[in-house]
Amino acid sequence: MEDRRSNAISDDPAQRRDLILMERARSGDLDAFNDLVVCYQDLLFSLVVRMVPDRDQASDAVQEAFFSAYRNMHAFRGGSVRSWLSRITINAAMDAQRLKKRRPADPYPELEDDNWQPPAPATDDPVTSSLESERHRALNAALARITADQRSAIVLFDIQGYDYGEIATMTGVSLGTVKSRIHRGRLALRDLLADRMDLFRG
Amino acid sequence: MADRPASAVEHDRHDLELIARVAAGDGSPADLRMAQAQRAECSECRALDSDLRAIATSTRALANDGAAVRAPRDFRLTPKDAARLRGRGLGGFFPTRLGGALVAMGIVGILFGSGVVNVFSGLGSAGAAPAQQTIDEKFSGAPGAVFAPAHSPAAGNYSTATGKDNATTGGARDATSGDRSTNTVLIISGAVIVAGLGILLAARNGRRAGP
Repeated sequence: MEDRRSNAISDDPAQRRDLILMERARSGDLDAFNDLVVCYQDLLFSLVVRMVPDRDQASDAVQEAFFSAYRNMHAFRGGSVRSWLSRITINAAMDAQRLKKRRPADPYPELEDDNWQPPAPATDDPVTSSLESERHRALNAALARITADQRSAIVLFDIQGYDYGEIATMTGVSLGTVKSRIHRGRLALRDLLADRMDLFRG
Repeated sequence: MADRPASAVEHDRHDLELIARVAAGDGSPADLRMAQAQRAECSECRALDSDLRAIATSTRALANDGAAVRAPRDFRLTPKDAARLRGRGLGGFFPTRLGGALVAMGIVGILFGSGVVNVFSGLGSAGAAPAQQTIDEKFSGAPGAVFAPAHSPAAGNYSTATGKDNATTGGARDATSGDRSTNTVLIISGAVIVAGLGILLAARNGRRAGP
């Protein structure tokens, strides 16, 4: 049965583009699907790499998410393609984290992987950029050590900018649980960063 | 522990999540009042509040890094990928349903099999023997037996002599047959459950992210 929402015309040009691409992809146009992949692969990778700090696993999770999206295109019920893809990617990231728990072999890259480079800071001032870089490194390391649920909630809320309701929908938990995970996650971060809080106090 | 200042011990008793909630702007007016009171009397709660706000600000700043993170490879699907994935359109759905159905069938089979045990044992011990006996009486040369003259003496003797034994043997045969059927049902049900669980497990292991 055709869902009316999938045909609803969105005011947002990006969303309108996504819906058109999705319709074409659903009718068998692989190039249209791949256009969606190109539009969202960086965004989704940046989402997953915070949740699954092992870059290889994060990469695999994103690939798996796109496979899953392709396989389940018929299940798309309209609305935001970005949110739909994010939800699939979060599930893939959760799967990857579960797998990592079962087979904890790879270290977190920001701690031990030589290939991992923190992104270049925005400022040109070497002192500020060095401080910012150090702060980000400490925060990333602490984020890697809190629980997966808390990390996901904080990444989605603070870094990806989703609101509580969207996160609740994506992760399949209640609004209260999302808030609680964020609050407890921040408390856990503060405990982990207790010795380095001077970096954050400006 | 005894060396800790009294203020730190007092701080341990404070509701830290309340401070976190209010620092994030999620507290109710009542939460806000309580947090204010807590902050007013506890320097560690004040420090916590300020640290949590600083951490939230720094975490949000990571979003700028996020924009700079590039996917390490191209995730576009090849036509081969697409063909493979199209072939697995029901990959997650069908095995799960099939596995579930098999497990359910197996359980029903085991329940039914257990019931069959009682039915067969009832037939074997109480039902079959009298029925067999009635038939034997007809063939045993009893007065008025219709077929009696047609029987050879040997057959008549056999029937007369072994009437009771025959009934017991017949009942035992039915009971044995019942046991065999029951065992078969139970074995098949067990195998169906194992197969169903195997399919469910395989589907679960094979399942990756879904929408």
